[in-house]
Amino acid sequence: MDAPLWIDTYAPELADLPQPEVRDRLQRTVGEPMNLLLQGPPGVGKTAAARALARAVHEDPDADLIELNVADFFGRSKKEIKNDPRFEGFLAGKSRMAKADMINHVLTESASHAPVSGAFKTILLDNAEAIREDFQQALRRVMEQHHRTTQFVFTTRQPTKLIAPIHSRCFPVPMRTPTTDEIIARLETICDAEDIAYDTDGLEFVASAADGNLREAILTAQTTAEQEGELTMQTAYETLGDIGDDEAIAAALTAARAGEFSDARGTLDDLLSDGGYDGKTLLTELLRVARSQSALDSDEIARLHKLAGAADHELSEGLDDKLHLMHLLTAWADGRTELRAMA
Amino acid sequence: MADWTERYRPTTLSEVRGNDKARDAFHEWAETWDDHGQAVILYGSPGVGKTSAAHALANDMGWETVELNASDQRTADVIERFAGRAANNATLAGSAGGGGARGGDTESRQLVILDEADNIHGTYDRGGASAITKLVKDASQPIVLIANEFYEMSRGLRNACEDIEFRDVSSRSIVPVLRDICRREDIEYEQDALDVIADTNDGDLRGAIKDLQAAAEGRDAITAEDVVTSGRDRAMDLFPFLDAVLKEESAEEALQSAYRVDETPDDLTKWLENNLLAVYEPKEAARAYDVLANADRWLGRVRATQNYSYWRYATDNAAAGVAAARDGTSGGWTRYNRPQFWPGSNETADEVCQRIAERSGLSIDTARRAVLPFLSAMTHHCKPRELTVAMTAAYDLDEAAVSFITGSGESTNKVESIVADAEELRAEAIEAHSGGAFAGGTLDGGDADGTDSDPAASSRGDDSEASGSAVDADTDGDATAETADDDENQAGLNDFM
Repeated sequence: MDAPLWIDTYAPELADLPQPEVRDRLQRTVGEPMNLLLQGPPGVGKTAAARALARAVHEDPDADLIELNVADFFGRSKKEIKNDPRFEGFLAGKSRMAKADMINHVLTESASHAPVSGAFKTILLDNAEAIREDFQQALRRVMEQHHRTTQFVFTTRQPTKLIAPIHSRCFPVPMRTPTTDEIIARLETICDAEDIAYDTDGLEFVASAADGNLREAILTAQTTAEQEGELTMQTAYETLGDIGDDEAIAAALTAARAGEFSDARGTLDDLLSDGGYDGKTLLTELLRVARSQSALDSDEIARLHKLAGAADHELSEGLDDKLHLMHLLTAWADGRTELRAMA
Repeated sequence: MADWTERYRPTTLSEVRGNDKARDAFHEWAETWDDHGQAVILYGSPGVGKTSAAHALANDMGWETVELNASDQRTADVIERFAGRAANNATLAGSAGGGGARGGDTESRQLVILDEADNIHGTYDRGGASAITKLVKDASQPIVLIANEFYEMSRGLRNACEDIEFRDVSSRSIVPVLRDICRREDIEYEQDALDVIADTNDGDLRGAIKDLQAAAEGRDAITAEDVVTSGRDRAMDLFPFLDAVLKEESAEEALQSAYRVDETPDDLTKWLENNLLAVYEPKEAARAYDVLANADRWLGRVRATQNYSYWRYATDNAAAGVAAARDGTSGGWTRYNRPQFWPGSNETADEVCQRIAERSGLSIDTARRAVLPFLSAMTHHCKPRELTVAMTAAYDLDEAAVSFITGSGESTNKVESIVADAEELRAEAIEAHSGGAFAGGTLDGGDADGTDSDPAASSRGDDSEASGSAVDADTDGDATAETADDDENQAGLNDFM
């Protein structure tokens, strides 16, 4: 089926990759099973580049490109992994296996299978920064054993999380944040292809709001186009305002300031348990939303940031994210300039 | 001076106080043991007379007793040696003629008493629990298991035995026992004194007798003043504890209460944090969060270092600190809620995010945070419909998932018709492009138009069948397509199908 999202339908081919250095480097690896390390910030197209490469290299990319999202492997429970259709086939009947063994098993199995077309296949380890170190050590050998038939591609936003032996086994392909102009050019191409009316201000607004995240820019453009029918500064602004949890977070801030802590806590609870946030991300979002609130004067916002530093520290020491965020909000609502009333 | 609890231990069942029903059931069990041959479990709080009842019963029936309690090592081996032999053999003292075997005369029985049967565990008692279960099933002598917690015992053991509950002895039943003892010890008493003793030992008859003895030590009369109401430590329930910390007690008292609650500091912290906003004013809450944050940091250190002695600081902060954060005391009844100890999961959300993640090559977290909000906005209340149908078809979503993304009600006609249309679209696409159904990225928007005009699409009534046949069509198509390639296996497989 055709994907509904432009980020999928307009995924680039290898020859169309916008960053010439990346394109050149990847094109040179075609035909040779070479381990690659694609590194760069979120949403710049690392996975898209890896997929483009696989389409260029393999006759049957569906069979010979094996994608493993490592964050999904290490961030979830064993049961969730086992029930994931992507891994199910490898793990049927392996209920007693430890988690580290599970991914090891999935990898070794998929690395040792013969490619369907051509001489080798590609294993894409997405979000590789999530791979635990002990497993990275185990991976060294797997990479060497199957070097003839398997090309490993790592994508990561934090290359420092990978151990040196992995770095040395890979050909690095750094990807930089696309410039606003590059994003605008990309949006223009897509809008032309989709026959969407747009103006330059609109594109510029979307591109700069995305702050180098191409995925976000394309999603914003599509959402605006679907909801408003055209992409102008006004429509894009309105669309962006409705998206995401900004409203909920702003409501939590307002409730906290009014002393309605139970309401604030309920909102945090929803965001943390259902919204996919962890404590640190939610803290960053809280601050961002606070900065955008015109109802708050700058002193209040500054004070919240001052308290947030201490709360962030406690967040990393403690276990219960919600508790520390509530601590921050109650202290802020109490008018304190230090997180704690007593030193 | 002898221990009064021993001196006045009942010698016959009729003297066992406060649990008439249990006593009668126990007697009945012994009388009919020849017929059923089952073991019995006596369970209940400490000090209500379980052990006394067992010994009294043996006395009444004229049975020998063999006792094995927690002070003995109770490995499988030991249990087998002592109780097993006792349970299967004749007694020395009893009439050997009866042989002790089932059907022999009841006079020659041996009553095997296994005290603290709920406390057989650890390496010290290796194999003990299963040995007891086996013993209980095979024994040819009556066995009494005594326990405080019925459900601490294995299910196999529980099922193999009859069970009799000994309830806490009401203070109304305790007072006559105390009065009786005072008479026999020739001690003058004030009724109030006995009442105080009975009340402070709520339910615990043995404790009451101990307290009476302590109060009467060296005197020949006891008054209410003589009774030191020290009270034994008993476990405190959670809700009274929350009341104590959040409403009533001082920091010191709250800390003492925390020691009496049978919960770990991390659970206590969660309980307090979950319920404090229902009681505290904003100012108080801000102070309470100061100390709760401290408690949680200590819990973090426990987790990091595995040094559990830090738990005490977590308890200090959580219990005493939260109590101290309060300005005064308050009353009334509050509905306390159970905190969420494990992050819950929303299966629909997980599944939707997983499908998006798979399609776009994202982690599930990224899909949830960076893509899902846009997708929801794009298809808000299923508008535009065409896109919503395309999305439903592409990710193969069901009604619940569509409702989750778009915010439209799950059982509305709108959502149902979208899912049905998407189903058609999928079947259509698979039929029309069977060879390339999984090639991806080759179909264009024009496809959706074709669906509406095509009468071959399955009716809405038999969706499941439609999808079933769609899968078939797909497999065949795939295999045919593959045959063109050099994949011999696949072609061979096709011949068999």
